[in-house]
Amino acid sequence: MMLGYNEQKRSNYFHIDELVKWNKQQWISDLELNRLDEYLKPRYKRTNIFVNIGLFVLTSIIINSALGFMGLLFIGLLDFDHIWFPALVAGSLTLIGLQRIVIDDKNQFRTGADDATLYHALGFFYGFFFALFEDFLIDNELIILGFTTLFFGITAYIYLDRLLTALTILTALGFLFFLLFRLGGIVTLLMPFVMMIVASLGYFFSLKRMKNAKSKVIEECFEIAYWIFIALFYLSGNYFVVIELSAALDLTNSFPILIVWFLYAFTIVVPILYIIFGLKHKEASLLNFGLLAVALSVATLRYYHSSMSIELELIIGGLLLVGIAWVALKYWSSDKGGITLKPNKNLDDGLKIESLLIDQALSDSSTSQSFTGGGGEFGGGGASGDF
Amino acid sequence: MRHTLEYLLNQGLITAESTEKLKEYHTNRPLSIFWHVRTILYLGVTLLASGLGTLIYKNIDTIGHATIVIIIGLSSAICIYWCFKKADSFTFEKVPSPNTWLDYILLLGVSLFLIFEGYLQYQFNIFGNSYGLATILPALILFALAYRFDHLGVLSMGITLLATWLGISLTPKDLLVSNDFSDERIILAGLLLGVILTSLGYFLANRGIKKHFDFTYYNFAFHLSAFAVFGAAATFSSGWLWILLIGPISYLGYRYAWTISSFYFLLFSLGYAYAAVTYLLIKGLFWIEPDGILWGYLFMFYFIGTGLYSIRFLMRTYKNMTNDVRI
Repeated sequence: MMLGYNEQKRSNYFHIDELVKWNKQQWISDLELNRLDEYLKPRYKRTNIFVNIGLFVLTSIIINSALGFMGLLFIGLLDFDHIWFPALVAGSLTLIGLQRIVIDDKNQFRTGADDATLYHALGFFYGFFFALFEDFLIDNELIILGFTTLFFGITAYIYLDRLLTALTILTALGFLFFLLFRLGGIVTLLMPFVMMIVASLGYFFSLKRMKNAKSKVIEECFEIAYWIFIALFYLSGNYFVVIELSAALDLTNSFPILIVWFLYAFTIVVPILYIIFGLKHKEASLLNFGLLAVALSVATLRYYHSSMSIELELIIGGLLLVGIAWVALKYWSSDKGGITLKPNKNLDDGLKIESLLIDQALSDSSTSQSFTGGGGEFGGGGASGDF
Repeated sequence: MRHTLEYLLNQGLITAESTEKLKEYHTNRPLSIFWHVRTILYLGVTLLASGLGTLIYKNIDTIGHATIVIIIGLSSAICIYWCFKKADSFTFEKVPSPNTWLDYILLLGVSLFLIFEGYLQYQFNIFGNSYGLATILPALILFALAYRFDHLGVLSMGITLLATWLGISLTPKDLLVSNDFSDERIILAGLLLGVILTSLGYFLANRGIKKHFDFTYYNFAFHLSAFAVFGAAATFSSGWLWILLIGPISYLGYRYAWTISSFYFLLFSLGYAYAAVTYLLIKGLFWIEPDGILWGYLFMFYFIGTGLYSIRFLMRTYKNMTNDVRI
């Protein structure tokens, strides 16, 4: 049994999603969309966020009830000293159900139903591994984190799931953190800088992979990584995080004064740099996180040096924010440097892709045949070959 | 975008030249900071208002407080006056905001007005002991301002005040946290408010008076009355009878979901109805026979069956509602 999603169905899903968006912007006509629609089959179902939430909850209810039902049936046979066995059975059944029914048969992809089933299956398998190897796993966070990273990493690779990608990276970072901590001595004090280097490397790597990704789903996974590294870089130099973590690791006051000053400067400067670079290079994620980081930095400084009364802080903060908004509204009253104050959906008005689409090719049935024939190898990845 | 363009190029549906053009367009298009600026403004206004509120609260018995109060009252008046000067003339239709500042200055003016009014009531008892009057009057003013300037935020504040007037203090955020739904009076007020808001929203929208406000009215009414019903079920002696009221609530929610193709309303209608039916079933079965392994099996079957049915229902309704063949 092949695990994971079908590549062709998945890339068709993303294409039709994009084309429907183009249609909503009136870049392509309904007729054109309907023609393209015929090319883009088979594919996974498209849904809406609220439907997804509903499906996620309902699927979880079904899985748990089914397992509860089986638990009731076999309650006499259950042996809680060997809980790994029922966990293995539950995991395998859920996984088979996921692949056979949810993904292959019902064509669910990012609808909530597949996510719920996948996470349940992983939960059972994780429980199985832990129950089985409990004796020599529990005490060692390096083994636990290493195993978890591997576990999430493999499943993230198979399913190209965004949450699993995030969990893989986070557990890997946790592993690195404890590894450095175990090494002890000067390495512990250098930890913030090691993390900064890791974050920078990770940032540039994921940015590059995002831009060169062969398919949308891979691009989105690297986008998650890219967000995590942006956050990690700031947090690994944030005064509060470093000082409080080192206190938790019994290293209170062990940083030289120079480093302390550096951390202060870092906490203040990095959010501003994020915003500037975000605006300059039109990277919305950097800008967003920069704004969030400003709030975190203000909270950090307030935590250690709070001399003003709360109402004065609120008023000054409020005035500053309104002032910043005023400056921004004045400065970008006309589009400047690739920045606009217009809402996003207005940006692309009037771009007529339909005039660019080759109409004859669309109505030509031979294209359609060649597509359905070769669709299997083609899905998603093939594009960059000729390009 | 890029992947779909490459796909179209590969299929010969678009020329290489056009692909390049579109890609270039895509990379050159500006970054929108529309929401960034608005979020900053909103935060700034909120901080400012809460700062001034705290200032008054902390200095309530000192000499300087009269000055602060006068300043706040004046600022509020100036803000609202400015809005009247700048706003486009009133229509019954949806009016796009003529200027980014208007919405936020109005929000500031209204927040300051509420602080001012609250202070006057606290210090000088201007409404005496008729606390009802002290909440309904500003509520009415907020409603008027919301309609005049087409401001959904002020409308929500007005509805919240109206609810306070009816004996409930609610904001969507702490609907569950702060509201003690165990009091009979509060439950009845919640149901009453649900009826009032639904009728008000329906009446006004039907007359074509700011038709786009109806979502806010219905949203408040829907969740409030559903919570009140569940509260009643948990509190009153024959509470399970109250649960039957979820029927009309869910039905209206479902109807509204169809009217505006809202999956949000669809999901919550289904959720409330599902919770109500499950509640009644469990209550009923335990009433017949309080214990027994058979019920365990039946419940599991019930959850599996209804779960599968609800999934089918959601998917089918989604398909019909979007009227989209491309699902």
